[in-house]
Amino acid sequence: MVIETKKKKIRPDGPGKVTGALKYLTDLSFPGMLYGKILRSTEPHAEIQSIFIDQAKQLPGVRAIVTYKDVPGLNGFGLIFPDQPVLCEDRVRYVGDAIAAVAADTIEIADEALQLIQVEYKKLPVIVDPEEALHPNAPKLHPDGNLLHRANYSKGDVEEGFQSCSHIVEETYELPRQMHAYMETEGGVIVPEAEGKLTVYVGTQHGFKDRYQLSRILNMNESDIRIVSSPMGGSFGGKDELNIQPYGALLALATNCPIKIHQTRRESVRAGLKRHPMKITMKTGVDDSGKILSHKVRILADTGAYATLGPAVLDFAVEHAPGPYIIPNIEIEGLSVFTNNGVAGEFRGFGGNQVTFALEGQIDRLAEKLQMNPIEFREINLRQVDSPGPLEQKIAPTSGAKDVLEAIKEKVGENTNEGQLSDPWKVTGTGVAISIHGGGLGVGRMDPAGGRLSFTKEGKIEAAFGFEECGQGLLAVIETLVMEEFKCKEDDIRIVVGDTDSVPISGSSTASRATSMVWNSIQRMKETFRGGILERASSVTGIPVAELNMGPNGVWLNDGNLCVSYAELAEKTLNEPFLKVETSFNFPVSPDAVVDGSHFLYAFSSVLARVEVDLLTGKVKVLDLDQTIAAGPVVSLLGYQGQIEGGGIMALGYSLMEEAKMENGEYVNDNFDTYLIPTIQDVPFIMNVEAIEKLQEGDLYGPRGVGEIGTIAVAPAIVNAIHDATGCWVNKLPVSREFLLEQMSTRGEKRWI
Amino acid sequence: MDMKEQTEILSPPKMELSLTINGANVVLQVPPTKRLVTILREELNFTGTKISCEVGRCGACAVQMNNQLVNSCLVMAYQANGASIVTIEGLAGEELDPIQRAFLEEGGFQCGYCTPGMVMAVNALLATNPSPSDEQIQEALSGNLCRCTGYGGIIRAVQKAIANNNQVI
Amino acid sequence: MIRQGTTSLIDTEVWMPTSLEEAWELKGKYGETASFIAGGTLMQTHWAKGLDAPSHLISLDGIKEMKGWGKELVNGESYTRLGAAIPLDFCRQNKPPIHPLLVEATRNVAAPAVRNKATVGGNIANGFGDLIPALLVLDAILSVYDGNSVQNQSLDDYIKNNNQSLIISIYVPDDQTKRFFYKKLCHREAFTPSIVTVAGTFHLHGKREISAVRLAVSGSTTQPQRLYESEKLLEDLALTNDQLQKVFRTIEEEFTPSTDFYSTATYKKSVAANWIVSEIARG
Repeated sequence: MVIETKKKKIRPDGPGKVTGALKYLTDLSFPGMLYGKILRSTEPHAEIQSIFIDQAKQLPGVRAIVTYKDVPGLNGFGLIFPDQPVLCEDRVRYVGDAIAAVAADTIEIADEALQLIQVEYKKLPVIVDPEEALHPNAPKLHPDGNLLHRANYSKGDVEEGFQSCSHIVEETYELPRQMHAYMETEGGVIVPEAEGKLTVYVGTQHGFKDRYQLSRILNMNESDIRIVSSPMGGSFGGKDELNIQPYGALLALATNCPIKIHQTRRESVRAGLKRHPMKITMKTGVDDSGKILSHKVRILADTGAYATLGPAVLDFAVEHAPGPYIIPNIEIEGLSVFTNNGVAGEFRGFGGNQVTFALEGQIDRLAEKLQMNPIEFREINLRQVDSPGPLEQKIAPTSGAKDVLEAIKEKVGENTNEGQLSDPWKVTGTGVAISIHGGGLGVGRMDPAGGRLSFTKEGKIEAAFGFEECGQGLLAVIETLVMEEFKCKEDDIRIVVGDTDSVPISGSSTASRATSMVWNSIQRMKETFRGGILERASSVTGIPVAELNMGPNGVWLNDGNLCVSYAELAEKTLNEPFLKVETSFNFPVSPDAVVDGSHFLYAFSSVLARVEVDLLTGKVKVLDLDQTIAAGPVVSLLGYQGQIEGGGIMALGYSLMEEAKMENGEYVNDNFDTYLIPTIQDVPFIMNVEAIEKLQEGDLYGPRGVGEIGTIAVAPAIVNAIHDATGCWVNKLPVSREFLLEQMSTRGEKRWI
Repeated sequence: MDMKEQTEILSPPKMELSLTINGANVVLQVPPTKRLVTILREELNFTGTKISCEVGRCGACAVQMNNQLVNSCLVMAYQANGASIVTIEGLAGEELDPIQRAFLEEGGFQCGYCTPGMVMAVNALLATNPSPSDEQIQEALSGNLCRCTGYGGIIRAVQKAIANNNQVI
Repeated sequence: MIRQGTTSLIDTEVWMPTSLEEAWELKGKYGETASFIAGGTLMQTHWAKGLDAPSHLISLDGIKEMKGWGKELVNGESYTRLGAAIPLDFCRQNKPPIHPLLVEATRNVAAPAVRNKATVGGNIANGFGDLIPALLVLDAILSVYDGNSVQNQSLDDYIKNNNQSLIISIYVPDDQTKRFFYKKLCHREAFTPSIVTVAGTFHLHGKREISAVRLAVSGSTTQPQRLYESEKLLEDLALTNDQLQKVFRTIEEEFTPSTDFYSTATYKKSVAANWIVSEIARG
C-alpha cells in the first residue's frame, strides 16, 4: 500500500484513548445515580408460573423492581419484528430472557436482590437443533411456528446442469456460534430529565432506531427521548439491537434517578447476540474445461430464540452463495429457524462469512478434482467488470474481483514457502480464497443517508452525522474528508455524531455504509457550503468570490494570503442567517433487483494464508495472513489497515478457536477464560494489507466501506492452507485439532527414529 | 426505619486502605475484599482503567502495583494496602508518554477500550527491557486482549516506541 | 443459585496472621468457612464463576517462612529453595537461578500480570497447576506445615496423599545433567488452560540408552499423574522404533485423562504419547 503521510494521520479520538481520559458511556456517573441489574432466565425454555418480588423489595437499598407489569407500552423489541419480550410474562425461550430488573443503591445490593426474586418455572422441551425445530411435531416457539424466514433464489435448471458436469462436489459445512467479544460490555447510564424526558447514554449502532424502539416500549414520544450513543468500546454488530436500554429506562422512570447498568462479561455472554451457526450444503458441478455449470445450496441457520435481524442475515447469505462467480444454473434455499439457543443476529460479515467458507471450500475441492491450479480455476469462472450481481441484478460496474485475484496470484508467486522446517513433526501449506461483499442494507429496505454541514458562531465547520463511533474510525473518516474537501485544518472542524438531539438522519452505522455515506453526503453538500462561506467572506471583505478559496484557518485569497479567518468571519456575520447545508438521500440500490436485500455496491477481497500444522497435536498456527482489498479509495489509512487486519484476526479466531458452545440451551463458556479470542501470540507478527483503490471510470459512489470485508475470506484461505499442508479437508469450524490428528495419525506407528 | 440505617446493616467489615495512586496518597475505608478496579473507577473516578472480563483474562484493567503489571480486578483492597499504584492517568506528564505517542501515530488502537491496559503492559515491558525481541513483546502482551486491531497496529506501535527509545539513548 | 459480581465476597473477613501457628489456628477455628489465600488469582476467578466465596480468608502474605529463596543442601545435593509465596513471574525471569525446566513451565502459566501475583505455592496447592508436572519430573521436595511441625516430603507423595498441609517451600534440584522437556497444549498459543501438559527428564547414555526416566502428565481438567509404567518400560532401554511404539501404547494405556467439553480423553492420550515419544526419540 502506498502510504501517503497525509492519510496516516492521528485520529481525533486518539489522545483521549491513549491517555484514558476519554469517557466511555459506561464510565459516566451522575449525582444520585442508582445501579441496575437484570434477572435473566435460568431455563432455556419454560413457562413462568409465578414471579415473587416481595422479599427482594424488602431488601434495604433496593429502590425499584420492574417486571412485565411495569412496561407501559409494547412489551417487545426487535429491529424487524418486536418478538422479544422486554420482560417475560409467561414464557422464557432462552437463558438470556429478562424477567425482572432491579435498581438499588449499590451493585452488591442489586445483585443480592436478584437472588431474592423467586421465579417458578415449568420446564418445557428444549429445542437445540434447527433440524429438530423444523419437525412438524416440534413444540412451537412462536405463534407462526419455528421457521423465522425462508429465502430462495433460482435460475436455470440445476439438475439439468449437473447432467452435463464431469465433476461434482457435494459437501456440508458447519459454522459455529461466534461471540462479538467487544471489550466493553453493554452498558451506560439512563437519566430522567425535566418534563418527563429521558436521556439514554448507551452505545448502539443506530441511535434513531433505539429511540424508536424505546418510545414504543415506554409509550413516550420519540422527541422526549435522547440517545447518546458514542463512543463505544467495540460493537461489530453486537450492539445494533437493543440490549440493556429498556431496563435502564424503566428503572429510571420508576425511581426518577439516573440508572447505571454495565453488564458483567458473564451477563453479556448470556444475553448478547452471536453470529448465526449455519449448516450449509453445497453441490457444485463443473465441466471438463473447468466451467462451473451448476450450484445448488441449502442453508440452515440457527437464529436462536428471537428474530432481531435474522431474516436479513439469511437473505445476505443467500445472495452471496454464488460469490463472485458466473454460474448458469443456481438453486439456493435458505432457512432461518428458531431454537432455544442464544439469539443469533447481526455480526460483522452478516452471513457472508459462513456462505463464503462453504463456497470457497467447494472451489478448492473442485480445482483438486480438475487437477487445476485453484487460482486459475477461479479465473475461468470469475465475474467481469460489467457482469450482473450474484442474483443477476444490475450492479455498479467493478473490476474488483479480477483485481484482487490478480494480486493474490502475484503474492502466491512470491511466497515460495520452500524454507526447510527444522522440526520433522511440522508441515506448512498455503491457501487462498476470495470474496465479494455487498454494502448497505440492500434493495427493498429503508436505507436513508444524509448529513449536515454548518458554520458555527465560533467559526467552526461543523460536520454532523447520525453515525456512531464504535472504534472503527468514523471520526477520522469525517475529519479527513472535510479537511480534504475544504483544505482546512483539524482545528477548524467540529464533528458531531452519536446524539439524536443534534444529528441528522444518516441511517445505521452498519453494513459497511458509514464511510461511503459520509463521502457521498459531503459530495452533495460541498458546493453549497463552500459557496455560502465564500459569499459571506466576500460580503465581509468586499472581495469577489472568484478570488477567494477556503483553506486552513480561514478564507484565502488566490494570491496565497489569508483573507479572513473563520473566527473573524463568524463574528462579522453573526446577524446573518445561520449557514447550514443538509442533505438526505438513500443508499444507492440496484435498479432491477428482484430479491429483497440484494446489493448494488460491492467490495472484494483476496486472502493468502500460510499455516504450520503440528503432526503430533493437530495444532494449526497461522504464519502469514495477507489480504488484498478492492473497495475504492482509502480515506483513512490507519483506519483501513486496522479494519482489515482486525477483521482478519477476528476471522482467524473464528477459524481456529472461537465457539460459543451450548449444551441443552446453556452456554458452556461464559467468559474470556474459556471463550478464547486470539492473543498477540496467535497472530502473524507482520500482516500485509494491500488496497486496490481504483474505481471504474464514471463511478460516482466513492469509497466503499471496509468494516466487514476483512473478515470474509480468511477462514476458507486458512482451511485451504491446512489442506495444502496435510491433505485433509476441513468442513467444520473452528478447525478441530482432534479431527486433524485423527486424519493424519498413524496411532504411534510412526518412524520415531 | 431510616433508609440509611437499613443500609448499614448490610455493611461489610471495613479496613483502612492507604495507598499511593499516581504519586498521591489516598486513604479510604473499604471492605478488605473490594477489588482495586472498583476502588479506582468508582471511589476515585480513575475511569481510564477499564473493566471487561473481571477474571484477569483480558488485561483491560491492568495497572502497575509497586512497578509490576497486575490486573486490578484480581487485586483485593487488603493486597494493595501500602502499595504504590500507577494507572494510565499517571503515565503522561506535560507531554504524552512516548509509548502513548507511538500508539497514536501507528494506530495501536481502534475502539480504545483495551488501550489503557495495553499501554501499561508495554510500559512495564520497556521499563525492564528497553530492546525486547519480537517473542518478548508477544509474551509481555499476551495477557492483554484486543478485539479490534488484530494486534498489527499495536506491534507497529511498540516497535516504534522501542526505536524512539533507542534513538534517545 | 448463580452468584454474580461480588455479592458473596463483600462480607468476607480477611485475617492477616504473622506466624504459621496463628494461620493454622485460624483455619482450625473457622474450618470449612475459611480458606488460605496467597496471590488469589485462581480463587477469585472461581468466585466470579459462581463458586461460593469463603466467609474468612486467611492471608499468607505475612508468613515470613514462605518468602524468599536460597541455595541449600538436601542429602548432600544442591537444591534451590523457593518460598511458596514467590510469584511465578519471579521464576519466569529466572531471578533465583533455577532449573530451566521450571523456567519453561512458568513461561507457560497465564500471562505476566497474573504471574506477578500468582505464587508457586498456589500453583501446586490448587491441584491442577502447570508447574506440577515439571516439579514432579524434577523430583522436587516440599516442606509443609501440618499444624505441628514443618516436614519435608516429595511432591509425588504430597499429591498422592491429597495432603492438606500448608506448603512452606519448594526444593528444586539444581542438577542439570538430565535431558528434559516440557510441553503444554492449549486451545490457543498463550494464556489459556491446558488441554494436556507433559514433562519428562531422563539420562541419555550414548545415543540410544536412557535411564532415570521421569514422566508426568496433567491438564486443566486432568489430575497430575506420574507415568510409572511407562517410565519402567523405558528404564535402561536401548531405543528402537519398535520399543518406542510399545512405549507409545503404554502411555496411552497408563494415562487416564478426562473427557471435557472441548477435548476427548482419546485425543489427550494421543497427544501425550506423541509428545513424550517424540521427545525421547529426539534424545
